[in-house]
Amino acid sequence: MPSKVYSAAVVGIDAFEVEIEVHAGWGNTDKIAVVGLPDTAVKESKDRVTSAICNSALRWPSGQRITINLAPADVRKEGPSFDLPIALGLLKLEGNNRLPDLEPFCLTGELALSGQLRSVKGVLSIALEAKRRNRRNLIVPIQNAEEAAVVEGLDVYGMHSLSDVVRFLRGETAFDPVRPCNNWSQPASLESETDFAEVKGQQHVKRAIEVAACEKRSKRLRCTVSAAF
Amino acid sequence: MREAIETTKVHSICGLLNEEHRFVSTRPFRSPHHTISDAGLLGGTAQPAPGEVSLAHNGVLFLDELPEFHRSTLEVMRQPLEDGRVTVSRAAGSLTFPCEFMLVAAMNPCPCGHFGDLRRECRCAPSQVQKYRNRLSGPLMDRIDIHIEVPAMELKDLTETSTEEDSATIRERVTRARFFQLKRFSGQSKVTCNARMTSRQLRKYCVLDQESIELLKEAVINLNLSARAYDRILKVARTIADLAASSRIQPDHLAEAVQYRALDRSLW
Repeated sequence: MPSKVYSAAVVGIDAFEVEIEVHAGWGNTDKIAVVGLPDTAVKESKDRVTSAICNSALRWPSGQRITINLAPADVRKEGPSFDLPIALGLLKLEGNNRLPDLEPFCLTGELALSGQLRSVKGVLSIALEAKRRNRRNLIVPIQNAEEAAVVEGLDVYGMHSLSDVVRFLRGETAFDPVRPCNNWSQPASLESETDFAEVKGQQHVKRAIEVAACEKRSKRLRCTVSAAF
Repeated sequence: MREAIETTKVHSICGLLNEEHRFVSTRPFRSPHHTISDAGLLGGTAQPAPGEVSLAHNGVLFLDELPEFHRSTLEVMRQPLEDGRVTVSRAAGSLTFPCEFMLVAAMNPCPCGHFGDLRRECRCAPSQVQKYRNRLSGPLMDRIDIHIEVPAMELKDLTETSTEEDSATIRERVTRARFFQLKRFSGQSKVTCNARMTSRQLRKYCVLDQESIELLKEAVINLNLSARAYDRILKVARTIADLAASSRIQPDHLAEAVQYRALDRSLW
């Protein structure tokens, strides 16, 4: 029976959900195959995952021919963000790892050989997609947690390593969902080093800049006769 | 908030977020060097990725030394400027990125930089000046709403210690004008500022009195303005009226807007 884990891939600026199926069967030779239009970074994922599982003292599933399918299989998958879901798909196959049903989880993250998690790109888009698909929990590398936490109605957990994720899923260690930091909605700082008061003369230029600032999208060309700013 | 999420998405995909900037909460400011390629500005290499126009989404794209950019690079910006989004088609697929940015550009009046200067003589031949300015196409200039000339400062102006208006005061006025616009377009999806008005909204909110109509007619004939320029002047005039907290566009608001348009006509 193949295991199923959910993640998401970014295309353009939006993400779409990717279902990761892992199956372990028997054959004459040991082989791990990644299918579903993976690019090189995704194909290499199996080597990172193998080391990470080994170094996290977790059990490798029994079986010699392992097939990892990234569905939908007709869209190209890029980047190392599938390391974490692939690792969990493999671990889920082995009953001794005692992993629960992963249906309500969306996972993303790159794995280091030691089992540590590394940050990935496009986490905000992934978080929005996870919410759209009604996955209630999102597990991301700790570096990306704050970015994803902006999305409301979704519990975002930032993790340090693969073994953290496994302990959390088993319910052995409790983690609190990351709360969005409060200060993001405030502009970073209104005080800047430069001020219009320091610009001598050029009243008409300042006026034009003021008008443009009000409009958000008007545009300006300035003919500099000398460096005026 | 919606804008901040969209901008963060673009930056997140490009891997531009770091320890200090986990979320883009201020408007981005991008100023690419003029040697930038079409793909760098618009987006897309072999694998379509956002370009500078998309990274400046909801912010400012500043192009210094505008005529030094490759001609083709500037021309590809035409549709993104109008539509607020850019579609990149490559072998790997066709993707659409958002790019609602404010274009700010700077240039010299001629290759030597002294054309029109009262104190120093321009060393360029007229044909050189013409060639320099021809690097910018009419259609692109037509899409730029506000043109201003920045003359060299007089020495006495530099040394005199007059007090200038500080940023905080100006910010207050701008915020108030923005508030008027938000109120005007509340309940109408997508449009949040004067520059984005549709032609129907333009007719509704930019009503002119008789004197203003005459003024605008005069300007269109004398400056040989396009239909696009006509609409843009009305929008800029609406903004100037907002700045003055005036509910109607007065002739002097319109005159200021026309004046921002006049420069390109005299030079090109």
